[in-house]
Amino acid sequence: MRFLRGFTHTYLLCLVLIGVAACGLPVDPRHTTDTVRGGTLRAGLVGNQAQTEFDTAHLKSLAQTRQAELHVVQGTTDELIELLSKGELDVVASLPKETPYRKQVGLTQTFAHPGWTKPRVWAVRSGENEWLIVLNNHLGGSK
Amino acid sequence: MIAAPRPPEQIENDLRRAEKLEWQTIFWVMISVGAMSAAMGGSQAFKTAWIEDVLSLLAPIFFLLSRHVEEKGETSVFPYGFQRAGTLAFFLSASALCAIGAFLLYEGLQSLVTMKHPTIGSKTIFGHQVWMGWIMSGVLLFSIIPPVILGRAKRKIAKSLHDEVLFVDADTNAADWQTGVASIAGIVGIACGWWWADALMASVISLSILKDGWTALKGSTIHLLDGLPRAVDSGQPDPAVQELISRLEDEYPAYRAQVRATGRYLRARLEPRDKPHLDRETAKRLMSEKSWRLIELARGMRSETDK
Repeated sequence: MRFLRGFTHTYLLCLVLIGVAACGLPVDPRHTTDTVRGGTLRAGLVGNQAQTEFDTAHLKSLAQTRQAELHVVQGTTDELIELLSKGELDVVASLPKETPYRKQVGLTQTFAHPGWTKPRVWAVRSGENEWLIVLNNHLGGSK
Repeated sequence: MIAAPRPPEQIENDLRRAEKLEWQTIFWVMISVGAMSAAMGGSQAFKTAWIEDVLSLLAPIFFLLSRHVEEKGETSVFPYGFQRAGTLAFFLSASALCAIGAFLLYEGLQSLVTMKHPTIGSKTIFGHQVWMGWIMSGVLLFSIIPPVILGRAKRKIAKSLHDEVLFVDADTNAADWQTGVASIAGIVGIACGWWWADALMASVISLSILKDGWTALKGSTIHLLDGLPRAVDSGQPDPAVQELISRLEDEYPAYRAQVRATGRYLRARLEPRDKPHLDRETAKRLMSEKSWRLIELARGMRSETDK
């Protein structure tokens, strides 16, 4: 049963690999989490101040926990997503849940607020999986 | 209506067992397809593995369908019966495998070229943020066990039944764990921050789909063109058939023996060496119109005393 032995060995190897990998992974291919920590959190906001009050508050507390300075850029969704994709922003906040950009960026879990008509999501640069978990953690505690 | 041929009891038992194994295959594949759909995230390799899983339903379904049809005997509309229904189904599923394999290869390579960075999110499970990549890996690890076991059981029976649909299906199942492992490697790659690992593994998996499709396409084309019957495991001309041909030609030196397979059955003919086709006069006497189309008139032998 040489074949079965090969299978069993590979199987056990996979189990061990996943087990080991699950500690401390995933990491960001473009290191957003690392550069934000102790640096600058560059965030994009869509809409006026009243509409983004919740998002601004959360960006502030996120920056605080990451010992980072918050730098907010206002603009249209189009502009901000463009900046995010180029790596000139770390996050675009206050997007509607059904954003047409979902293929170009990574999205957090949706979150709702009593004053909103629609649930919202935040977007990260595509592929930044560790950063996405950081944001989910931050927003998750604030439902 | 003339009944379909009845194989010996041992073969009948194997056929029933094969049917049971194919039902089990369908059951397990559906469970793993369902579980994978629930965990589906941004990994291209995972999506490709999922599609391969869905495609692996084709062969068992076609096997069971053709088993059902094969039992029917000859009818006035289908005077040769339905022994080759399975081969036709096999050809169709092979074409599907080739087409989808090629499409997935294109997608995988496109992701590599455009440097698409796959994003996989996290979900709250029992108050913790769990990265969906780990859930996907877990589902994959679970889904690769049943096909390996079933594939090995089916391969043995396929040889005794001389059923190429079943054999290729079994072979695919038995090798399916490599797809699962490749897909896990893609996800672990994403976790390590290697964005290319996922698209690379997706391309590798699509190559394996293409390879399965190509093997099946080759086998079924040979079969449908009445090529020399092949051994199911090696794909080479069957030595048992070679032996039959040389024995027939020894016993009937004036004839050349032609053997073809219809489904799992063999049909041998003795053809006059010097006259390959029916002469025009006979054809004209038998058919008033378009008699050029009639090239052969044969009388079946059902025992050696028919000589």
